[in-house]
Amino acid sequence: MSELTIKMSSPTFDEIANLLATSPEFREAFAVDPVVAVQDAGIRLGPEETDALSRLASSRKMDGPEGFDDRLVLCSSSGY
Amino acid sequence: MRIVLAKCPRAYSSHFQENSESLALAYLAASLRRAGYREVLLLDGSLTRLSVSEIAGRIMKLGPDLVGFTISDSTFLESTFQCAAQLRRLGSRSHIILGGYTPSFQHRETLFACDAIDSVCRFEGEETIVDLARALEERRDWRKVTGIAYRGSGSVVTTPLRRALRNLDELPFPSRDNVLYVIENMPETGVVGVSGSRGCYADCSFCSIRAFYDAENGPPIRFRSPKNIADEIELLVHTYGWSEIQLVDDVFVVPGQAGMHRLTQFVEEFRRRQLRVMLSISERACNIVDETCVMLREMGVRQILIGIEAGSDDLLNYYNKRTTIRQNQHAIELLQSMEIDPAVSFINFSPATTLEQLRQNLDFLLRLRVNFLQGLLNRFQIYPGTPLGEDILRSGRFVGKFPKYDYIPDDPRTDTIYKIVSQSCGLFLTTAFELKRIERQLRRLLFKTEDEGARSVRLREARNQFQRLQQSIMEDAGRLFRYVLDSVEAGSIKSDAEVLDCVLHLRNAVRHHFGIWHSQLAFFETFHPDLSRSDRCIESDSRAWINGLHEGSDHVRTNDQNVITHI
Repeated sequence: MSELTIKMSSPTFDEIANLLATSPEFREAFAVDPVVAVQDAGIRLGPEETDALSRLASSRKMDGPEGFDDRLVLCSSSGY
Repeated sequence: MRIVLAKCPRAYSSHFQENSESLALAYLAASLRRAGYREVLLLDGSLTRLSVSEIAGRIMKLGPDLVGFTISDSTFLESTFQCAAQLRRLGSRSHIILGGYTPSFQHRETLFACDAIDSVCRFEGEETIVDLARALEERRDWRKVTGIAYRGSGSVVTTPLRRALRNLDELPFPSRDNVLYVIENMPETGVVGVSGSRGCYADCSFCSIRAFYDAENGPPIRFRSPKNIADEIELLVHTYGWSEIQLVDDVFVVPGQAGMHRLTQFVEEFRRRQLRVMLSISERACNIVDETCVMLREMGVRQILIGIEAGSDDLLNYYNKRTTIRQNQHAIELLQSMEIDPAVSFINFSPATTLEQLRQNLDFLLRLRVNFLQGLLNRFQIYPGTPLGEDILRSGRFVGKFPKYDYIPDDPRTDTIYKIVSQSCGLFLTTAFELKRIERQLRRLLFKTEDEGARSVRLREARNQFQRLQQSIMEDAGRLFRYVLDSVEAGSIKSDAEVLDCVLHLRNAVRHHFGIWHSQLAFFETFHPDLSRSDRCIESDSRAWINGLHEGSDHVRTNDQNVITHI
């Protein structure tokens, strides 16, 4: 995950989080370009928030295995 | 007498990093030290990410008389065999003993699979390791030590089994040589565990716990006293400042009046000591009732792992769970209403599972509103010694050989589904871990700020938002799984080429969704006004104390930060 330190205002955060939880279209668009998705949804961002969202997108790392070994799933199934 | 107690990494690469010290090694070390053996080294290569060669190299450098390897499960066997063989190639003449679940039940197979091993410790090892050390030190015949197996002339010889330890309070507290490694290197994901009991009163047909302790002819479950456990937790909190403990007991609350009495004692011990620690426990759904939850919450329990295992009562009966899906659902909902995070373990694929039951499992998991990504991919494992494992091995419905057996399912189509998802859905597991990590961060913050009105309210809202994001991820994952289920049921995936085609298609779909999930979670974690990665479960004063401990103590630190003591 990113190590950005800028926080959003609570109302802006809540609005985006709500869309992410409820709108599949918004989630798709957000994954492609969060700034454009947010602006298209009519949410206004301050300059710092826009900058931070852009940096979030560019700093994303997507990695992980495509497959797995069945024994390792079991071994890692505890709550932690 | 110099002794090394070691744990090797799993045999194959894993993205699941070990996040806690081995309590098995810690208890053995404590018993040896109490018996007067001062030169005892814990070398947990699994935790500290040492290779087999590095472990062997370090052992050679130390030149111990006795080397004990712990085998948490069969995935550790191959690397341990390699390590033992390498020690012999390097000229080691140490006595090498293996212990743990698999060697206990399959001592013959273990000893014949690796002739570098001298003996196997069967079942609980605290007394056996001390007796073995004494026999070696005094140059007596170690083959007379109780509770071991070794190679005789052409066969394996076993000495009589020990009786299970009766009073667990008599055990020394485990040696916490590696706890600093966990605290310093894994502040977000590390777990400090405490074992408050051994065994389980239930008799689930797939589970190794009952089988392991039954073999010693002891009671199915033994408890340490609440006072003794609280003493250990208090010591951990005061020594290391770590305010989060996982009680690793397979079941924490037992039913009936005795269980309530024990729980009351815990609450009183914690209250009397003003011990404020966030606890995580495991529990059976049938024991999750209002009164119990209130007391657990008062103790500090904020997460409970429940083995719900299936979304069909027929399957629960097959597993001899003695619970129902209704009880499981009620337990999860009760925990959620009391703001205790539920975690679930689940066996989606078993020898008896039908396509219809896979569908029921998925529907049930979606109803629970929990992180089920691991459980959805979980496949029954054959454990020798367990009722179901023995049944499958006896009936010949398995393939493979020691130490890796695999069952042949009643409906081969379930295997086709498993084959496809196991080659395509690894990113589910990555996502499951991320979800757990963020949920834990929220849990810690909520626990810390319970008395801070406004922030606490805000964090509760954050948790609601997180749970909604999590559920949207579960629904995506459910759709992907259902796609495979529907395709296989419709008969459109039969040949190897069709399976491969589906794997490639599903990989693309999973990667696409992973991008979306990752965006959601990165946004949530990065921008939430109240979340900060600096909020960890170690207090700043304690961190300063620990830093002082390193500077002023006789701890020897190696390049990989492994902490070596008492040698």
